[in-house]
Amino acid sequence: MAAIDQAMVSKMLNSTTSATAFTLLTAPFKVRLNSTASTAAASGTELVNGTGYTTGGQTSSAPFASTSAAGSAVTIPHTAILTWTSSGTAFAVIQSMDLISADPTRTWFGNFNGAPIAVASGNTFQIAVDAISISLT
Amino acid sequence: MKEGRVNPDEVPWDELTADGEPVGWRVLDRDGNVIASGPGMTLEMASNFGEVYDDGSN
Repeated sequence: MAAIDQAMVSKMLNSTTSATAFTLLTAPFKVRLNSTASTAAASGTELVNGTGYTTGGQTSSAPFASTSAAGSAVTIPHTAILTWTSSGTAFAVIQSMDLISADPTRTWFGNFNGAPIAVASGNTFQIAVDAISISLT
Repeated sequence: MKEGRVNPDEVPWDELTADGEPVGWRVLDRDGNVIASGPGMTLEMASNFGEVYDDGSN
């Protein structure tokens, strides 16, 4: 299983092997939380809007991602943590995340190590600075 | 899982998981105590695309 959306894979391959233009994605990029696993074909089931979660996910202070140089990995969130405080049942379980641009276009996805993560009402879920590493090798 | 009082705004976190890896995510209770945590996530597309993926099973 890959960690990148399969449609994005095709865009990258086509734009780097032929004259097919790659349409630039727009910021802000957001981390979307899902209650089920994401796959290369589709996102997981997004958490329900409300009770501490806003549909579409969350970004944080710029720069949201580090900059790759000489093929190095990119990490997100690069400047500030991501944090959600549950005020209801929407956070019953967190399984996976998707990285999505403002267009919106899904780019990368992954399941959290240790998932499913239960976040009871009143509790807070946080993702550390540079906790998600993304690379092409 | 690691327990202890933390500063939610502290960046970067100076915490390790039980396996000695830097904490990538955590759950805090109402009082700011860490009640669950786990390592970060590595998303990698290798030249042999499709074979390298951290599915969270480790």
